[in-house]
Amino acid sequence: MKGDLSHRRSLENTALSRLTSRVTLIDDRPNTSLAGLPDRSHDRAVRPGSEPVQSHGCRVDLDQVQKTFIDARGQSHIAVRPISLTFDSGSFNCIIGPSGCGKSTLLRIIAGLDSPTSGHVTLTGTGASHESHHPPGSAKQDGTSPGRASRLSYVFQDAHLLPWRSSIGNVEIPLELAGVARSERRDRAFEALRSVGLADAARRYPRELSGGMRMRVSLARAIVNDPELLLLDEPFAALDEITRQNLDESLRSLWASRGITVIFVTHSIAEATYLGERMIVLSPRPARVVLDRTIELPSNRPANIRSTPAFAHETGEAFNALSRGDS
Amino acid sequence: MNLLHSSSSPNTAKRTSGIHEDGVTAHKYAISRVRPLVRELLPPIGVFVLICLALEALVRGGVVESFILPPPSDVYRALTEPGTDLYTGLARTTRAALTGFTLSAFLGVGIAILLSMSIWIRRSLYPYAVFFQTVPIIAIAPMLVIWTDTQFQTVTAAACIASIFPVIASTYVGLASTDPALRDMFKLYRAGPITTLLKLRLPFALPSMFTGLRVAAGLSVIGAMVGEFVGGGGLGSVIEGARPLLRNDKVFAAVLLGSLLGLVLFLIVGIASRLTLRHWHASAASEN
Repeated sequence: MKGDLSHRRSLENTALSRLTSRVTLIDDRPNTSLAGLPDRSHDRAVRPGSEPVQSHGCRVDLDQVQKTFIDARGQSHIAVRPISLTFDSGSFNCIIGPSGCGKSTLLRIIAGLDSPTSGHVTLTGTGASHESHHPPGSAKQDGTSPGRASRLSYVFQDAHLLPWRSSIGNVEIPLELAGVARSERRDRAFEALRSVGLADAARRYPRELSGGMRMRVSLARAIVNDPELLLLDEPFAALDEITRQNLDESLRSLWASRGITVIFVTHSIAEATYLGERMIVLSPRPARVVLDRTIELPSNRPANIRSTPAFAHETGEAFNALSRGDS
Repeated sequence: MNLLHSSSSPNTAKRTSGIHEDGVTAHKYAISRVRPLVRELLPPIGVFVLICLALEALVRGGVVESFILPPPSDVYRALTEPGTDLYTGLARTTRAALTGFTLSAFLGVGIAILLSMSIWIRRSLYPYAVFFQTVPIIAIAPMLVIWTDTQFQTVTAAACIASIFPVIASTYVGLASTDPALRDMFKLYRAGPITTLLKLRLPFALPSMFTGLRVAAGLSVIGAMVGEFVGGGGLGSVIEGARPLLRNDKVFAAVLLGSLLGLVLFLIVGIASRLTLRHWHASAASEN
C-alpha cells in the first residue's frame, strides 16, 4: 500500500518534471502541424509567462445578464443581478466569490448550459464565428438556437471521467463526438495528454490514477478540441494544496502557449491571484461585481511568487473586496 | 462469501470520481484470482457437508421420520438412480430458464430505455412494469398454457415474466442516474440522444444493470419450474410426478438440482459482470 502510494507520487513528479520541460519538447517537434489542425506552432512555441504572440481565444460579452430561479412554492429568487462584462480575447479571468453566490450559474450561462432570464451572451470567435445565447423566446433569437458554441470546453469540479475508458479514450471523447477520424483523434488525444504531462498514462484507466492525474486527464479532454474558450468551475477544489498548485501551473502554461480565453471560477483568493490576469470578485447571492481589477503581477509566475509582497498585496485587495461584499 | 454479494450499486460508478488511494492494490488483488476463489468456495461447501451429516444423523437417530425428511443418503440414491428422469428434466428446465432469462435481459433493457426516454412515457408505463413483479406467476401460469403453443413456450414465458422486473428496475435506475456533469459535457459537444445513450448512459448503467441481471438469473429458474408445474416438462413435472408416489427423496433431489441451476446461472452472470466492469471502481472489480 505504502509502496503504491510512493509509486503514485513519483509518477506525479515525473509528470511534473515533464511538464516543466514541455516547451522544449514542443520546440523539438518538426514545425509542421498535425493533420487537420491549423498551424499554430508559432504561438505554441511561446514560453509560458510571456504574452502569446497571436490570440486564439474568443471574446465574451455579457450584456445585462440576469438569472432568476422559481422555487417549488412559486417564489422567484434572483441568482444573478444584471451583469455586463467583457472578457477579452485570449485573457485569463478569475471569478471569485463566496459559495452559492451564483458564480457557477454565470459560468453555465456563458457555456449555454443554462439560459439567462434576461440579457444575452455573445461569443465572438477569431474564426469569425459569432454565437449568442439569449433567453428562451426572446426576439433576438435569429434562427440560431442557444448553446451552439462550437469551440468551448468546460471543466467541472471533479474530473468526471468515464470509468470504462482509458485516459486516452476519455480525452478522445470531444473529437469522437465531433466525428473526427479515428487515427487523427488518437494523435490529437495523445498530444493533449502530453501537454498535461500524462503521455505515459495514456493506456491507464481512471481508477488506476490519483486525483491529480485524473484532473490532468480532464484538462487534456477540455483542450483536445482546440477550444477558443475554456470555462473552469472550481476544478481543483477537491485536491490537496500541492497538487492544486502543480495543476495551476500547468493550466497557466497551457493558456500561455495556446492563447485561449479562460474564465476560471474559484473560491480561493490565492488561486485566483496566482492564475489570473484579471480578477472579478462577486458579492454573496444575488451576485453583483464588487471588484474588477487587473492583477499586477509579472506574467512569468514561478511557484514561489506566492511568497512575494506584490502577491500579498493582490490577495489583500481581493480579500477586502470579498469582506466589503459580505457586509 | 463475496461471490454472492450484489455490491455494484448504481452509484458505484459515481464514486470513481473521488480520490481513491488503494485502487492499485485492488487491481493486483484481481489479477491473482485463483486463491480467493478457493477461499470463497470452501466455506459454503463445508457448511453443506455439515448440514448433510446433521440431517443424516437426525433421521438415522429416529428424531425425524424419513417420510417427513428424506435422509441425504436417500437423496443421493435418487440422484444416481439408473434411468432416472431427473437429468432430462434438468436439461429441459435449463433450456427454458436460459431462454427466458435471455428474453427478459433484452426486453427488460429495452423497456428501461423506453421508460427513460421521457417522463410521460415513464408515468404511463411504469405501473405496468411493476405488474410483472406483483403478478403471482402461479396464478397466471394456466393462462400462459392457453396463450402459448408449446410446453417450451409456456415455461419460457413463465421464466421471462418472473425475471424481467429486476432487469427493468435496475437498468432504469442506472439510466436515470447518469452523472449530470457528463450529460452536460455531451450536450456541450452536441451529442445526439442516440449517441448519448450508447456512449454514455448505457455504459454508465452497466453496474446497476448487472445487479438486476444477477437477481433475474435466479428468478428465471424459479419461474421456469413454476411454469412446469402447470405446463409440464422439466424438473417441475418431475416433482409433480414424484409427490403422489411419496418419493420425497426424489422431490428433494429435484429441488437440489433446481437450486444448483439457479446458483450456477447467478455465478455466470457474476463472472460476466466482473469481466465487464473490470475497469470500473476497485470495489466493483474485487467484490462482485
